[in-house]
Amino acid sequence: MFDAITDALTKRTDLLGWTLRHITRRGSQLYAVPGAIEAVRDVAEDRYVIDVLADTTVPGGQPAAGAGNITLLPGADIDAASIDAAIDSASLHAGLVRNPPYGLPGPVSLPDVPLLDEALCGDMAGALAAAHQELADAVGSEAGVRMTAAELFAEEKSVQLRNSRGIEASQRGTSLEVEWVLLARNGGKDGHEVEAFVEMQRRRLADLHLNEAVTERSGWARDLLAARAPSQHEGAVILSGSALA
Amino acid sequence: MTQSVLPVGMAELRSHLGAIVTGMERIVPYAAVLLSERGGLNIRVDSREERIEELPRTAGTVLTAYDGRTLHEAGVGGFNLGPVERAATDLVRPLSSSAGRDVDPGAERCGDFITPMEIPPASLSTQEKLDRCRDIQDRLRNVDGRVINAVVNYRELTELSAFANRTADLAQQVQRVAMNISAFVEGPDGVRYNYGLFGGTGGWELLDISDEELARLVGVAIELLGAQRIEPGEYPIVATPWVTGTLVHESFGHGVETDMFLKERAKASQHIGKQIGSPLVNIWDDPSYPRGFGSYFFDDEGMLAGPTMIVEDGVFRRGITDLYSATALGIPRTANGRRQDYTRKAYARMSNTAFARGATPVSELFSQADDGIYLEMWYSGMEDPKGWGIQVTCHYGHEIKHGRVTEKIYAPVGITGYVPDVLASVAGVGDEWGLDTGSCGKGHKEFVRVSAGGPHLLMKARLG
Repeated sequence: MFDAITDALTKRTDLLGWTLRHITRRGSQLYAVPGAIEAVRDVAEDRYVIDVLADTTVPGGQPAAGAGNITLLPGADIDAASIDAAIDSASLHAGLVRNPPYGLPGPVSLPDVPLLDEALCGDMAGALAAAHQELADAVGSEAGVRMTAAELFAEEKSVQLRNSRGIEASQRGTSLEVEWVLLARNGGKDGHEVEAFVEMQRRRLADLHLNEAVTERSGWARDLLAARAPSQHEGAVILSGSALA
Repeated sequence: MTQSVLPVGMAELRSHLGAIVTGMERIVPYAAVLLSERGGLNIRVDSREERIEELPRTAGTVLTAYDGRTLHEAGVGGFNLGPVERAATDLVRPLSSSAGRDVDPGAERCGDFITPMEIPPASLSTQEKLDRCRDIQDRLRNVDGRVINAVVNYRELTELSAFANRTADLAQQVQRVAMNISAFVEGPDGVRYNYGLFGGTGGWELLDISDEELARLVGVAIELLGAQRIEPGEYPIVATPWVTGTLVHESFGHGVETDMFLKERAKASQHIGKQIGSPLVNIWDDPSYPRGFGSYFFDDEGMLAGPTMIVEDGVFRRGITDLYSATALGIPRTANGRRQDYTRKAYARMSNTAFARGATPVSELFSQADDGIYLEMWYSGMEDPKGWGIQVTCHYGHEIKHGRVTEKIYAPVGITGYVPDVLASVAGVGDEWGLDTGSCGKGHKEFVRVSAGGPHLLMKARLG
């Protein structure tokens, strides 16, 4: 399909340039609530994204450039006719736009950046279940806090890219996203309760370090119980860590 | 004659959904299938650049199998029967029915629904839409010589879906349009801007923006060149429908999504049946509200749209649900199970959430406020369902002096407070009413289209 779309783009004489990307994603998701796994999901996505650039002119006649884009989704709308129709649509959009002229980049050498965790790719659902268990065990060993929600996402994404200037590139990468909610409470059932929400994004399982994160964030949750609104202040403050993000 | 709601591929797969559900329910006690395609177009015109872009598009099938404890789902790209049937088989193969809660599939229901429109976006060419955007941008830019940039951002969003379980066979085509226009003006002390939101479910008939509306928008931007910071303190305020809507959305909107009850993240769960505000407070959520930007005919879990009374005469009645939280909590479902797209889980989400209309003329609210602040346009809001704190930033507010709105303008104006205190202070509810257009996330992700609104409210709030 990638080559068929490339052939269709190459035949177009009305385009100043084009970029084609084939993007595939597959992932697993796990959602936990108190005492239960609410949902486990496996998802897959496959798409071809076409960006085109066209020569246009502003009303005074000066040269301009326009860009347009379109997505083709296998299983929804890909056949030879739909490829041409999609390029027509992107070209039409590009032809209506009148921005200062620019071009597309050509090939350059790219650094080899490690993006993939092969261990995660093998069994994403199993990896998430293990990570959730590790999270639950770590929270269970902390005093004064409990976990009432957790969401874990793992994804492998592949991108193949080709453009009219000769770029041929591809990359595979993984991502992990882990969120959880800790509650800490003073007093009995009707006591004061506070919440600490944690969100982490990593590329590799080995970089999660859930035990350390739970220890740190549990301390924050317990500290929140003693927190009070600051008095009014105008003057110097010190920002650090994630407050700077 | 029945109007065709779904494209050919989706319609073809839809005809097999009943058999797929039946096959999965040989193994598990509840199964459902959702077909979902979402996409759209974005046109942006400003004084320096134009852009026409396809909005990120998704198309896929969600297979759901509930084994009595856990929802097992597969999200399959596209609408081809073979891969969907194989995914359904693979999904239920390792499962068995375990002792747990039963899912109510709902009453027998079927139907095809389509958003009523006078000027469907599909009836206009891209060139015609671009020309209309250029016209509005041109009119906005020429309102005043101090306008240094005018931005028109048009979006059309199309959602096609079909849902089937053993009692439901539903299909819908929901069309939304939205236009965000902004005017940037320059004065001796810098640049200020003002913006307006237009749209709803429907077509271009919702985007008929008059010269008067554009002049008002630019007029406020010019006023903002001389805006002051407000002295922090508690003030009587009159809130417009847009500010009222933001207060509602952040307090008894996010705070009553019942998945948050299940996760013990919402204080409202301890206040069902209790007074949480003035008897003048009435709040509802209604995905069936005509032309609301958050409207649809059925949710992503097959519940037919209808209103939910959240707060009635100041008493918190009930929250809005998704399938799992309603099942786990043992409460009736509402039509609020929504997904960002087929790759994401359904959560309890708002649709059109609003404070109910009152009967007091707005001029009387100003008289009753006497001296206070008229808060007219929101800028951002932050929910805190656990602590019931509220933070809303308004783009600006005018002074009310002796019951009249003056030219003195403050910007920005922050509202902070404890939700029950804010709602207890509601002393008047106006007779003019409106809904905005917006997008809402669950935390930092899971974006869905919503609206929020209400009438003018007279209340007290801490501003800063």
